[in-house]
Amino acid sequence: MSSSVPYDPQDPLTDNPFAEHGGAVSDPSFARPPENIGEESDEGEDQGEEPEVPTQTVDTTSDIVRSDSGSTGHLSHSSQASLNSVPKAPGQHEPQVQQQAQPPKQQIDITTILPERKDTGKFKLVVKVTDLERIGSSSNKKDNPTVVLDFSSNIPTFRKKNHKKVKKCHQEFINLTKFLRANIPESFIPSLPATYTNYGINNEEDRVSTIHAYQEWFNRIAADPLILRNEELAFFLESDYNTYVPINRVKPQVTGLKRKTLKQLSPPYDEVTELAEFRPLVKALYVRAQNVQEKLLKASRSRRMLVQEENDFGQMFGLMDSNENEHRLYKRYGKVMTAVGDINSIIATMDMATFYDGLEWIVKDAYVVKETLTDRHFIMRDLIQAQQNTKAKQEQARKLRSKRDANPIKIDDAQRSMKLANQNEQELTVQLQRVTANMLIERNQWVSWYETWLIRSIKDYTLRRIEYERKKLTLLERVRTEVRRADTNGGLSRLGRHTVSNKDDDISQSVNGDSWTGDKRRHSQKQIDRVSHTEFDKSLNAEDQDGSSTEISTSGKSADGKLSNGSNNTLDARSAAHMLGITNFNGR
Amino acid sequence: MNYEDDDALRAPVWDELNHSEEIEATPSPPPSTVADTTTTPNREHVADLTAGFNAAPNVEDELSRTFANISTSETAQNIANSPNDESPESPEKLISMLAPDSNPLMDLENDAKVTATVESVDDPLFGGSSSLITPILGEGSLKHDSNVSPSKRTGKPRQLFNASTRLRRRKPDYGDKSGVATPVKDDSSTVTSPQLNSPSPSDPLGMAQKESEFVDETLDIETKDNDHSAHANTKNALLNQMDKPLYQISPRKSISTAPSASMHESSPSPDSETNPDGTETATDGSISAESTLATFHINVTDPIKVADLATSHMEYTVSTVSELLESQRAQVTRRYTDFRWLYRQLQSNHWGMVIPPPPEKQAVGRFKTDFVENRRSQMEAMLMSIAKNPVLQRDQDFLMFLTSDNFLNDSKLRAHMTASGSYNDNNDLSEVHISEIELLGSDDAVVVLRNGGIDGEQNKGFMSFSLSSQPKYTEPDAFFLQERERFTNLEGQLRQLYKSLEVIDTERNDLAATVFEFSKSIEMLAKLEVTKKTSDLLYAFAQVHDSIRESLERNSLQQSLTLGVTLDEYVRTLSSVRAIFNQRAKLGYFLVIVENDMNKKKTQFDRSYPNFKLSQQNNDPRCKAMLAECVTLDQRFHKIKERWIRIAEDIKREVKQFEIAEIKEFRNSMEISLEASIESQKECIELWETFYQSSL
Repeated sequence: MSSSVPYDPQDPLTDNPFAEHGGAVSDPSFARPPENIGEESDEGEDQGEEPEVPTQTVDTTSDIVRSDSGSTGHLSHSSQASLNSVPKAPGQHEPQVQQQAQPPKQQIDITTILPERKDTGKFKLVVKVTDLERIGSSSNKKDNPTVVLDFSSNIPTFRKKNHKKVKKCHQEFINLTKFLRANIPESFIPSLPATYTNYGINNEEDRVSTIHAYQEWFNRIAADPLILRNEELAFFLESDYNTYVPINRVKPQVTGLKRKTLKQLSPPYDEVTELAEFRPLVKALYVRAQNVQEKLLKASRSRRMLVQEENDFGQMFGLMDSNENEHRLYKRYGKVMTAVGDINSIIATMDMATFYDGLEWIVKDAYVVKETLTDRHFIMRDLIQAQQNTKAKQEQARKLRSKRDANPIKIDDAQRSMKLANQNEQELTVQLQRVTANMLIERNQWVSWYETWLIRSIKDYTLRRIEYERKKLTLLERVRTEVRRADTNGGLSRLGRHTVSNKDDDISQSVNGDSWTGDKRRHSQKQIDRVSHTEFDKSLNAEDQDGSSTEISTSGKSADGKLSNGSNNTLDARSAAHMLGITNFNGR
Repeated sequence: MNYEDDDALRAPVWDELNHSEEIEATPSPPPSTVADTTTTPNREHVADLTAGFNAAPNVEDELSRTFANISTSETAQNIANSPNDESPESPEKLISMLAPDSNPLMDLENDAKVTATVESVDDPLFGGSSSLITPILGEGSLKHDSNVSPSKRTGKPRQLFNASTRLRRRKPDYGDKSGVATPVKDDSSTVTSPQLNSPSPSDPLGMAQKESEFVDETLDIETKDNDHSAHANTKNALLNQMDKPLYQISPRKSISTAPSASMHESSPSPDSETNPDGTETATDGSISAESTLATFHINVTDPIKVADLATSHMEYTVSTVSELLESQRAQVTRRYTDFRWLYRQLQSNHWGMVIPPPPEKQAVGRFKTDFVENRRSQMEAMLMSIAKNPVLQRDQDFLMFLTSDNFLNDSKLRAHMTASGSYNDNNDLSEVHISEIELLGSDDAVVVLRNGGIDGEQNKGFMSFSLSSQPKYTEPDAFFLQERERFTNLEGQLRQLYKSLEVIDTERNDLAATVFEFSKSIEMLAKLEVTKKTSDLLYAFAQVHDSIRESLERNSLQQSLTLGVTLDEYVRTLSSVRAIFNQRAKLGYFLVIVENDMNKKKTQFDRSYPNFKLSQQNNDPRCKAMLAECVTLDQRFHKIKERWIRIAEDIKREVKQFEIAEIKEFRNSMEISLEASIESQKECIELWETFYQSSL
């Protein structure tokens, strides 16, 4: 051949136009990753003579070890490429590329494209979020809490194995995720949890669930080998409090107007149906989950409105003018109504704090996933462009070559640019392969995360709901006895109440289960205690006492006395709890 | 006022009716009928009746004198009928009037001394009645005189033990008043007129009397039968009623009980008029009938929009089944205004009674189904509670309301006859109109009405804009002030409570709507099928929310049907309670006006004739006129005063009863609504528990 460039067996371009076309096409050696990449990342050796240019460029960010040397590798390569102007052959078409790009992915070991996934258990990062601090101004308290965490890791980029009481503020987290998102296009970087919950800041429940959310985030981070291998993670974790900013250059992403415009275009043809379908799915999920949130917010709001009215109603009931006997009853009834209203208010808050906040993370994450998938589309677009470019360059080179009196310098130039284009294409192809392969893995991971998270929040929601609905029932049943006592043959007696028990301790929830259902539903003592004591017991009782305390105490005593007399010897835990509930409600 | 003209026009139409009515309504049959009456099973009753009538002839002279003295309404008539009687009497009275003491109480006492009619103001309730009745009826009647007193019908012995029975007795008077034009129909003459009429066998009155006795007997049997069935029935009715608020959800659950009856019902209105009167007699005749509650089954159904060009309105079908009705069942169509008319009419008929109120007026959205249904049930409740009251259920106007096919005319006629002002309906249920006829008797009322009412006379007397000198009525009894204040407060509070309950209701419905949207949005999310598991879960989740929404809506409906309905009724009934206080206040106001007037007239007379002596005959016509005026005013004053005192008793009793009933009712609905919320709470927990167990 006339080319001055010697055939380099290590050249990824096996379909070098100058090489024999025979079996080369089917040989996906361009996708062949460097065999030693795993070791490299382990030890960080021999990175200098890394011949695999395309992977190198791709890995600049993801491969922690070579992140700094990658650029030099790239440089050396380009200089090399300029020297070795390889004449290009016109054999490569885009379908070919994609053919080669996609099917082998399934055939060959995933680790060849994604060496990070080769040995997933190798590197470990164990983070334990221990505390949450909210300091400073109120907005800072809300939006920029400080997370206190312990962690240990065997990743070589960490200077120390174990760290205790590391403090990180939320802003640093934001910086990190921003960097990761730009520099690891292969992964769905988990979005950050909300800095506060709908419980409202400054309470234990908020603290616990926020800590839990951060813990969850770290777990997700630690599960992604690509992120683990990124040195920025170590920089982040080992930097001083409130000082972290990304050390490495943030890769420019397609942003702003350009991104918006590009998103308007129909997505490029995607051979991987799973991912092709995934983006619209996630997008719909994003939209609908937001819709659910909105509706939940509305429901919650109208519940609060209802609460307001219920409270008013209860208060008015309490103020109602009447004679002594009724007055006490009305007052008590009003109190209970108010308390029921308050429980409704709690339910509204709980709804928000459990399901709304749960969805919130799903929405945020779905957005990130969607955008990451969009980024993949951009890579695909770039690849198509690169392929066209290569094709054009090849055409040009062939034309020049077909001319007899072609200027050898020009030919050389054309060849060089063809090779460059080819290289670019290769890089993009490999990058797309990596992205696709990783996303396929992460897609499933994300879906399962979505599943567990959704179930978790619904479960949370349901449990809270049950708890408070039960409390509501307890409250309502407390006043029932009084209402009944006030009028022995009123109300339901007209509906045949004699069938209803007239006992004072007519409480439908006990350790034995619920009186209204045939289902065996055993409650532990703790559960019952929890349910039978509401947050409003104190206020109910306190206000009772200021009214006509003597009356209440006597009635309470009598009820209590009866009970203890009746079950003097057989006072087991159950009736004790029962008694406790009653005495409590009777105001002592 | 063209009051007289109207009467003259109407007189011939009502003449026949009045005859029969009058006699039927008379609880004291004339001696000739006593023999007949003895056949009635009510022996004790008969005994005192006979006793009364044995005594009657002896004291007749005295009686008639007494009547002339006390009664006010008939004075004009008396002057016309028996001028001889009148002239010696009035000077006697004048002495007392002219006495330097302007104290009305003193007047009364003097009066009593002179006329031997004990109307002692110190003890108006007992002293008055006993002293009056004993000479007439003897001992036997005294035992029963609270219930049955033969002379009661004439309205003379005002002071009775049971003021309400008196009120009941008075009802038949309305029939009399219809015939103001005919002198025989007058109150004062009733005692004599039967006696005059009964001997002649061809007299239509005698026939009517026999008729009435017949009715008397049958109805007695009926009521006895009903005594048995009534227990069962009332029980059932009570149960039904209890069921209603809780379970009556479909607006037209009850179809008219007898659709075929409507054709049957088209009996002429006079028939349906006489029948109630017959029952009145029965009530008066038998003591047991007093307390017997006739069962009524009243349904208000089928609201239909009647669209006239100018006046479109809703008409409701009122179908009634009751033994008090002549034909047992009746079906008529009534509109909302008619219900208001009934309220006003009953209010005017029964002073001091809390009349079940109609729903409030509403201008906009009158044809919305919710509103119509609400109003329908409210009106049904109103009719039912009227029917549950032993007094009101026998009210002539109530029965007419239930049966009359020509209600428009009948009601106008009745309103006019009683001057109840039922058609000049005030929006405020607590505002009252005091019927002059009811207050003063028909004759004096005509005069008063011609002069523009009692206070109109007052204003006329001044002729100038002396509004500042209007006498002001101050309630002497602290009970009324206190209670009135309390009820007003309570009403305000309840009104607020009701409003807030209404707001809760709307909020709850809002919440149900948002929960529905929420569940729909969850369903949308579920449709995505990100994974099978999540979508299943989400579907179940949406399902639970939907069930919760249903439960919420049910709960809200239940609350509004129990607590809401009761509160609403409570509030409106409180307006009705305030109305009886207003009645008292208005009577007091009239009292003050008339007293003022009287005093002025007296001083005027004193000035004009300082040397007037009762003994010497004075033929000066001016003097006579002035004297007559004074007498009229005096009589008016006494009448008003007596009503004023009586209403006080009525109110006190009624208020006590009302309080107990309402508080009970309220507490009941409280309990029911509480029980309902407990049940829905359980349902809610169950839904969540089931969801938790099956899906999580």
